[in-house]
Amino acid sequence: MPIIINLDVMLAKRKRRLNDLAEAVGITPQNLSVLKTGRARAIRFSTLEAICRYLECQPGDILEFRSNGQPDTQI
Amino acid sequence: MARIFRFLCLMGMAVLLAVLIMTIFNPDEIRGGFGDFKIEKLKPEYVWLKRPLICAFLVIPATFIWLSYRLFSLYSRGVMFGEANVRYIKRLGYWMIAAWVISMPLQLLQYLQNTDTLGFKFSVDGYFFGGVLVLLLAWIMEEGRKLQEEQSLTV
Repeated sequence: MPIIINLDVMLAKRKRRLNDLAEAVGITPQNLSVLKTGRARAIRFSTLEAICRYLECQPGDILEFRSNGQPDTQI
Repeated sequence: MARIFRFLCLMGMAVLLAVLIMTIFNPDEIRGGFGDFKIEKLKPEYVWLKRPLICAFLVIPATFIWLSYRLFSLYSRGVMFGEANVRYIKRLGYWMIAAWVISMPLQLLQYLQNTDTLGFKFSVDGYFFGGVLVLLLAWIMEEGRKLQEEQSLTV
């Protein structure tokens, strides 16, 4: 899938645990795991807002677009 | 509700099993047939065909009841829009249409009966329309399954 979820990266940067994030956002750890493993089909703005608020980051830090066949660019 | 229908399917299978046992031990007591063909009206030289014909006739209702039982088992476990549900509903529809298709050449079995006149009729009956409706239902269930899957994978 072209949209990559970098939740693990942000959790490691902020030194937070997945279960704590799930409790803060108000969804189950299993549901959050669906997002983390890239199986999610859609994400609600309310969920994205809650994640960004807890991890003190921007949506772009969590979501990354990587087109198939193109190398990722680093700025 | 699903449990009630599942129980009814079990009753149906028990009835078919009883008919099968009676066919094996005393086929002369069996009455009925398919369309205008009646087992009890077989010519004496074809009486030996009673057992295989009755067993063959039992295949369609047995398959139908078995598929219904599997479907209601899924419903009783709370699985409403699963892939297996759609698969069983599709098979039910195909079997209903197959029963309609098979009924046409089965009219040739009238040759085995004690009858002076033979009649052939072509009709688009309940089996065909019922099968088409069941296939339409399968398509709707498939769309429901996709919606439910999308919903469950929305975070």
